[in-house]
Amino acid sequence: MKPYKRLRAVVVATALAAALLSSVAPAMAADGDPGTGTTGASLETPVTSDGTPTLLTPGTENVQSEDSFEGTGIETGDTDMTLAPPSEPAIGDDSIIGADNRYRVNPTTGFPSRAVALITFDGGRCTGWLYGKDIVATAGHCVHSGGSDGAWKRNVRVWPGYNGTTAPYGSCTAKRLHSVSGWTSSKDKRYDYGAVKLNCTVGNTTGWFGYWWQSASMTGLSSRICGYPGDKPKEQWCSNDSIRVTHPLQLFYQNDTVGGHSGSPVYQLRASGSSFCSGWCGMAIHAYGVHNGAPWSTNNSGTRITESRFTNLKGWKDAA
Amino acid sequence: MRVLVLGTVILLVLAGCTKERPTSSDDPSPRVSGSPMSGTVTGRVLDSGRPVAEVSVRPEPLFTPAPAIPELLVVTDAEGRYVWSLPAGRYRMTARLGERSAQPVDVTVVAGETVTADLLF
Repeated sequence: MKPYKRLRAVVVATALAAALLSSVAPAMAADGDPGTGTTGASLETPVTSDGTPTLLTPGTENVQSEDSFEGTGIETGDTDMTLAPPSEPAIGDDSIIGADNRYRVNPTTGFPSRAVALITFDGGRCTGWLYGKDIVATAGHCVHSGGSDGAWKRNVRVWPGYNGTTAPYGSCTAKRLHSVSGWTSSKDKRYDYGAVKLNCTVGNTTGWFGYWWQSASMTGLSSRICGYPGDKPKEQWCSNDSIRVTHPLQLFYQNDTVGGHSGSPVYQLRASGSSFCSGWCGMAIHAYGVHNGAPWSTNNSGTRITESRFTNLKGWKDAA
Repeated sequence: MRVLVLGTVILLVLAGCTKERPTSSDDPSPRVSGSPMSGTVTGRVLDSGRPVAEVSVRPEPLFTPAPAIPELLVVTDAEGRYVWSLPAGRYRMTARLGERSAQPVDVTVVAGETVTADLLF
């Protein structure tokens, strides 16, 4: 073979290799996940229901938390705005681990209960939590059915502090839905998170949760989950436990949950002056009950707030 | 020589792809049910022929290992209709109205296909 032909063959082969490698690059960049497989920065690419690009907030790279805010707490609900009661309490899923340790929150007008919201949409219900005046964090599957053949949820409405048959703070429709490509394209449960941008600023009244990320393990931190389980008639129920296992992209706990709890905050009260977040602060978004394999088979799990997720959540919060 | 170089490079690339595939020993299937591994179960919940609205419908996996099923609540609309997107496999679909349970229906979900399961009280 002539030298130039050999060189051409090497160049062609190298280009082919580069192309093939670039096709798998999203699955192996950043956010390394040695215990649970590699992950990809591009899977954290923000996606919105109306195509609006997410502008990352300048300076966010130096921020690790945002504190909670209690709001005015003044009730604004109108009984005419309440949902029709369910015909019957719904059945739940098998995510009660051991004894059922859930307890009802009643009334729901205290803080942070009023910042926990029932989310309704065509064909289903979820939970979410305000983390700004007009933004609600939730599971990705509560805003999009997931995968490239999935679709955004329709007629999404948020009911902060909903309590049985009353809506003490009324309800708000969705201005925009947010998630990331790891959910909307790949339907990867490790990327199952999103947000609802509201057409109102009810957070100024209800207050909102803080949220934070940390590189260190979260195992051993106390965890509380509050939301709207399907086996209760649109009442808010909570469960306390602690983080049992920390994975780079997920947290595992034995707080009792039931279908409908998806999107609930996994949170704790952090004293003033704490590292990172102070007040009622979320560290994960609940998404799954028990299923195959350890640690999934003995724990419920939520999508962990990491640095890149904090950046996305903040970008969605700060967007107009 | 050229064939040898090309073959070697391609083998290295393929080996790299396999190594970097996002899997792990303890979580063999991080994907929940994304296309093309998921299918749809739809149907109506009826009581004496009339649609029942606002009733939740639950899938119970009949196979192991159990897949990850999101903890959202799927409820029927005014026409008693529901839709579940589920990983491929066999499920028992159930609904309950007070103390009464609908007759469970077992379905096999096939990737990319829709199966119907009406639940009757």
